[in-house]
Amino acid sequence: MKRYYMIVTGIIILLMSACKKEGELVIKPIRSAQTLNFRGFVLGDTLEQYFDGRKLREFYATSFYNGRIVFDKEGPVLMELKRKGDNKVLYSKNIEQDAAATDKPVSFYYDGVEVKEKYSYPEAIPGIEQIAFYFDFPSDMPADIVYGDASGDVNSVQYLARNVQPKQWVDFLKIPPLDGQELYVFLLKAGKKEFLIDNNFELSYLQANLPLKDGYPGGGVQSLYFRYVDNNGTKGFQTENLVNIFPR
Amino acid sequence: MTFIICLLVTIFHPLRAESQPDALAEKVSIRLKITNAAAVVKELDKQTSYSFSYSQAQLASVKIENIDFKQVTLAQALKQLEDNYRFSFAILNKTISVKLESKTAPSNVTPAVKSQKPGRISGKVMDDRGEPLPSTNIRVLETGQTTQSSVDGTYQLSMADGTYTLELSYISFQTKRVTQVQVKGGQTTSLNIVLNPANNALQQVTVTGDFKKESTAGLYLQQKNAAGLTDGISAEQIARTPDRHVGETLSRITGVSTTEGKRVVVRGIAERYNVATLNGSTLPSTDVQERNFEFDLIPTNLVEQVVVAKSITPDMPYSFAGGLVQITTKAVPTENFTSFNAGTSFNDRTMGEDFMSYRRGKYDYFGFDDGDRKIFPKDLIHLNGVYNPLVSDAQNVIKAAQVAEQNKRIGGTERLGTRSYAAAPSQNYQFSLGQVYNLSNTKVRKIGFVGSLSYRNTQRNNYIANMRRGSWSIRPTDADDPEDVNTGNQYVFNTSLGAMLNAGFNTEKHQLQTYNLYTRIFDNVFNRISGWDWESPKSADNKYPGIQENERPKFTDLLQNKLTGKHTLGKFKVDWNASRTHLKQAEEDASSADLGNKEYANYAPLYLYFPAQSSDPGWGTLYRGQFVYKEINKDIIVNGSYNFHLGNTTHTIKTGYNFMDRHAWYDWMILPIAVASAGSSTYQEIPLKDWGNYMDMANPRTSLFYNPSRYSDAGFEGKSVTHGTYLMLDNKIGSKLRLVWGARAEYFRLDTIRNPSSRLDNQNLKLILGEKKDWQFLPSANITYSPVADLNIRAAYARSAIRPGLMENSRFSRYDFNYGSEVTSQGVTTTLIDNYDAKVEWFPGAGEIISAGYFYKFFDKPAEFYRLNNNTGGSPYIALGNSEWAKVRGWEFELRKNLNFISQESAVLKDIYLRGNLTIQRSEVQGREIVYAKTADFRDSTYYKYLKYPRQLYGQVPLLYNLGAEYAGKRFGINVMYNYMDYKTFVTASEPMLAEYERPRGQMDLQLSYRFMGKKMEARLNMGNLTDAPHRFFINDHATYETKPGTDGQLNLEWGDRYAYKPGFSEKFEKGYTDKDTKQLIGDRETFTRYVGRTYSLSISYNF
Repeated sequence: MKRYYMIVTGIIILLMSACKKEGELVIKPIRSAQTLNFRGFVLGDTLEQYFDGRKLREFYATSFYNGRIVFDKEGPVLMELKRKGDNKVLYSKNIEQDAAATDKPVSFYYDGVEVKEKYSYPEAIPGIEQIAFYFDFPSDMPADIVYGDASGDVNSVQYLARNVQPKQWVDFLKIPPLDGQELYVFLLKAGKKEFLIDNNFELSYLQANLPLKDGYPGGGVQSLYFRYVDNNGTKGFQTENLVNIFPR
Repeated sequence: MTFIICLLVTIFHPLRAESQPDALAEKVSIRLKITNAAAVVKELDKQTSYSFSYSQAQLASVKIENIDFKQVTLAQALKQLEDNYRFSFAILNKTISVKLESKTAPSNVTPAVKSQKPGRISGKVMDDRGEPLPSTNIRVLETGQTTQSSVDGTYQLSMADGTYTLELSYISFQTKRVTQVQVKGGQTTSLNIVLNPANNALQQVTVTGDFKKESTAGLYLQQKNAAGLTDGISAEQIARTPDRHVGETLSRITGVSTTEGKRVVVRGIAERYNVATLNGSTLPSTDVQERNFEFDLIPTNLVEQVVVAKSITPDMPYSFAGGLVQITTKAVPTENFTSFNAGTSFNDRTMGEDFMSYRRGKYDYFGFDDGDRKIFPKDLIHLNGVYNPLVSDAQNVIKAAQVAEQNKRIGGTERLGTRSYAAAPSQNYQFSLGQVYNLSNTKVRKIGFVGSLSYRNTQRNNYIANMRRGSWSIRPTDADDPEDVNTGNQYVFNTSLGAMLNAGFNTEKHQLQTYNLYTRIFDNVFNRISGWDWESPKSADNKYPGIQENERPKFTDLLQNKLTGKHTLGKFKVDWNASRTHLKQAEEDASSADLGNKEYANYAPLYLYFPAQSSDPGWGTLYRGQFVYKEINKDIIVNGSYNFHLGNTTHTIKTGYNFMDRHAWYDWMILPIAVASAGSSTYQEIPLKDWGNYMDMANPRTSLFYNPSRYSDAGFEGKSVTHGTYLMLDNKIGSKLRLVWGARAEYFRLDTIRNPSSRLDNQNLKLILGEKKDWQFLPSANITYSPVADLNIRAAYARSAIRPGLMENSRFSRYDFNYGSEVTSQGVTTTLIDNYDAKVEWFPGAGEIISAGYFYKFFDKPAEFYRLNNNTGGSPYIALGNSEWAKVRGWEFELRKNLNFISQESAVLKDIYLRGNLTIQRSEVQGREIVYAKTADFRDSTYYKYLKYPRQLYGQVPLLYNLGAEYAGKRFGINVMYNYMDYKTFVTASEPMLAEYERPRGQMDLQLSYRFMGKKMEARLNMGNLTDAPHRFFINDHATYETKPGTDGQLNLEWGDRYAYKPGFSEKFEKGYTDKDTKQLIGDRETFTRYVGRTYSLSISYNF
C-alpha cells in the first residue's frame, strides 16, 4: 500500500515543482531612455562595439550613431570597443542612467594601435593650408600626390609627395597659396606619368582644397582619408576629413 | 491543483480495498462420515460464495472416513484438507481449483492457501467466416469442467497445471476436440477455435485436431477475414510499442501514414476522406476549418485495438474513400489487472533551449486555465461605426466613458508579452485497472470493468528554418544574402489527461456494455517568426526584420458516453448502440502581435509592440481572441442479422438503421487593442503587460482601448442529420467463395442556422453550394475466392458519399500562422466516390502475409484547399472548394515475413519479422477555380475556370512505403522502422506558382525494450526521427515555367495547353541558380522548412 502512496506523492511533487507561472520577459521593460551620440574614426582594423557584453556594431573608418540608449536594468550600461581580430578590449565606458551624462557625444579615434578619445591635429596657421593624407588602398597601389589644372596633362603637374605607401599617413603638408585659379589634387602611379586609377583623370581625382592666390586663401587644416572602392567595376574614392569628425 | 490532488487520491484510493487479499474468512461447518473428497468439496461449494473447479472422478476416488469442521474459516478447512489428503488448491477470484497431488507432483506446485494462481485457457470461438459463435459448449474432458462462450464468442477456463483436451459443440456445427492444450500456473494459454458447419445437421460429426494446428487455424482465419481490405493493430501489439497516442500507432498499420503524428493519410489519401470512429461511433472533427480528427487525443493505454477498413460493406454507417479508422477501447477484461506506467522523453531541439510563450497559467501543467485567459465578458458593445476616438462624445453614439467601462470589464494586458521559460522534459503516467467477476459456475455470467487514467505533458520546440508563405516576403532581395531569411520557432506545450471507465455484463446470449471516455487536452502553440514581409522586403532602409507572434492556447474536452448491446436469439443476432459525443475546443486569449523594430545604441534593433489602428477594419496588428467550438453528436445504430444454411452454403442476411444528429456552434470574439493614431502613439516603450493601465479613456485621442466589432464578435451554428438503412447479404458458398453485397440508402441534411462572416470585407461574400444531394443510394459488393487454404483473391466495389463537415460551409475566415495567409471556405458540396479494389493475399505462415492489390477511385466534386489570388490586396489566400472530378489509380503491396525460413532450428530467427508496405498511385484532376468579375454594367459576377492536370489530389502522396524489422525475444526486443512519403500536395492552385508541395521525407525510428522482474516490469527506449528529417515545402516558381501565349482567357484547358516547364525544371523540386544580373533565384522557391528534432523517450511499466 505504501508503494501506491509513494507513487501518488511523487507525481504530485513532480507536477507542482514543474509549475512556474512567470517566465522571464524576452523584451525587457524599458526603465528609461536617453539621448546618446557617438562618433569616431577607425583606421587600420575593424573594431566591434559591445553593450553589456552583447555585440552591436562593427566600425571601420567613419563611425557614428545618433539616437538613444535604453536602460532595462539598474545601473549603467557598459560600452566596449574590441579589436575584431583578437577580441581585445581597447576601450570601455560606463554609460550612466542620467541624461546629463550623455548629453555630449562619445568620441573615439583608433589609429590601428590604441583607442583615444579624440584625434589630434595641428592648430591652424593663417595663410597656410595644412593637409594630411591617408590612403586606404591595397598594398600594391603606391602613389604620387600631385596637383594641376583641369587639363589632365600629367606632364604639367606639381608634386606634393612621392611614392606614398598605402595605409600610412602623409603628415600635414604646409601649403601656401598657389598660383592658378582652379587646381586639382590627384594621384599618379608612383614614379610614373600615369593616373593611378585606369589612367583616368576623373577617377584619380582627390577631394582636397588647395589654397589659391586668387581664390581660397588657405589657413585651414585637412586630415584626409581616402578609401579605394571597386564595386563591380565602379571605381572611386570614399573620402573623409577627420577634422570634421573631431572638431575642436 | 486541488482538483488534481483530489483526482489522484480518488484514483488510487480504490487500490487499497482491491489489493487486500481475501482472507478466505467465510465460516463453514461440515460433519460427514465415510465419504469421499468430492462430497466434501461439494459441501464447501454450497456453503461459501466460492465456486470449486475439480474432477469429480478424481476426487470421488479419495475416501475420507471422518470430517468435522465446526465454524472454521474456509482457509482453515482448505489447510486441513491439504495437510491430510494431498490436495492442492488454486484460487482465481472466486473460483477455487482443486487438484489431487500425485506422489510425483512437481515441487513447484504451491498449495492454494499459499496463493498460487491457476493457469487459464482463453480465446474466441468463431465460424469459418470469423463470426463469433456464442453459447458454444466447451468441456474439458479430463476434469468434466464445462463453460460456454459469451455472446461475442469469447470464453475462458481456469485450470490447474496439466495437459487437457477441449471439446466444443454448437448446434449445426461439427463438434471439435482440441488435444494437447497445455496449461501452466499463472499463465494464460490463448486458443481461438474455428468450428465448421455440419453438412448434415442430423449426423453428429466430431473432428479432432491438436493445439498447434487449431491455434494456427484460428490465427489464419482472423488474418484471412481481417487482413484483406482491413488492417489493424491489437492492444497486445500496441503494448510492444512506445506509442503515447493513437496518432503514433496509426503509422504502423499497412498503407497508413500520419501528418504531424496526428492526422491520418490512408493509401496516400488525405485526412478529409477518412473517418474515425471510437467504439463504433463517429468522432467529431477536431479542426474547425477542416474535416479532420486529431488522433493524439486518445492515449494508447485506453485502446483495445485499432482497425483501418479500406473497403466498404453496406453495414458501415459512415462513408469514406481512404479508410475508416475504428478505435476500440477496452471493456470487460479477460482477467484482473493493475498496471502503472511512467515515462519521460526529451527532444534534442527543445532541451537546453529557451521555451517561449505568453504568460503561463498556474495550472497549465494540469491542463486547466487559472482564469487569466478568461477575459471575454458577454454582451460587449461593438464599436465599429458608433465610436470614433477622434471626435467628441457629442458626435459619438457610444461615449468614451462607456468604452472605458468596457475596457475595465475586459481587464488588463498582464498576460501579454513573450516570456522565456526553461523547457522541461516530457513526462507521462498511466494507470489502468481491470476487474472481472464470474457470477456463476455453470453459466456465463460475467461482469467487469476497465478503468484507466493517464497524464502526459510534452514540450516541443520546432525550429522553423524558413518561412516564405503568404504575407511573408516570398524571396530574398538578394538570393545569396544569408541574412535575408525569415526564421523562427514554434513552441508547443501540451498537457493531456485521459480517463476511461468501461463496464459490461456478458452472458452466453447477451452482452451489455457501456463505454465512457473523457480526454482533456491543453495545447498551447506559440509561434514567433522573425523576417521581412511581402510588402517590405529587406533593403538598405529596412535592414532589420520584423517579428510576428501568435499564440493559440486551446483547451479541448472530448467526452463520449455509449451504451451497446448484443443479443443472440437462435439464428437471429441483434446489436445496437446509442452514444453521445461532446467536443469542446476553446481557444482562450489567443493572441497575435506584429512587432516593429527600432534601433537604439544598445539594441540593434529593439523589438516593440505597436497598438492597432482603431480605424483598421480588420483584426489589427495586435489582438486577443476567444474561439470556442462546441459539437454534440448523438448516434443510434441498430443491426439485425439472420444466419442460415442451404446445403453446404452458409448465409447471413443483415439489415439495420442508423441515425446521427450533429449540432455545432463556433463563436469568436476578437478584441483588437487599438489607439486612434497608432503611427504617432508612444506606447511602444511601455511594456505590453502594462498597457491595461492606459485604457481609462481620459484622453480618447491617445488612450488605448479594446475595439470589438460586429463581425469580430459573432458565431456560427449549424446542424446536420443523417438517416441510413441498408440490406446486406453475406454468402459463403462452399469453402472457397464468399460474397458480401448489398446497398445502403442514406439521407443527409445540413442546415446552417447562423453563418456570419468574420471579416468586414467579406460581409457580402456568398458561399457556392452545389446541387443538393440529400438522398444517396450506395451499392457495394465484396467477393473473396480462396482457391487454396492460404490464398485469397478479392475484388470489391463500393460507392461512398463524403458529406461536408459542419464548419466547412462557414463564412468564418482566419489568418493561419502556418499558411501565412487567411483560410476560408467557398462552400463545399458532397463528394461522391466510386471505389474499385482488387487484391491477392497469400498467408505463408501464422502472422505472415504477402499481398498485392490495385485500386481505382473516381471522385465527383472532391474538396481541396486552393490557393487563390482574387484579393484586391494582392495577397493570396487559401480556400476550401470543390474541384470538378478526380481519378486515382494505385497499387498496394504488403509483406510481413518471419525469418525462420532461413533456419528452422534458430531460436533467434523465429522471433524476427520483416515487414514492409508500398503504395504507388497516380491521379488526374479536373480543377475548378472560381473567378470573381464585373459584368459590363459593373455588377458582381462569378464563373468557373477549369484546368485538367496530371497532379495529386490535395493531401495525396504518390509514393508511400514503410519498412521495418522487429525482433521480439523473451526479454529483449528491438524494432526499427523507416517511413517514406514522396511529394505531397499541400495546397493546390490553378497556377503552378500558387500550388505548394511537401518534399519527400523519410523518418527512421528505433525502439528497444527489455522485460525484467519476472516480466512484470518492462523498460522501453524509443528514439524517434533519428536523422532529424525536416518537413520541407516548396512552390514551382514562375521563373521555372512559362505560360503559353493566348491562353489567358480560356476557361477549359489541359495543364499542358497552358503551361510548360523551362528546360531543367519540372513539377519536382529543383533548386536552380542565382541570376547574376538580378540577384534573383531562378529555381523553385522553398516556402517553409521545419525541424522537429530527435526525440528520445524512456518508459517503465509495471503490472501488479
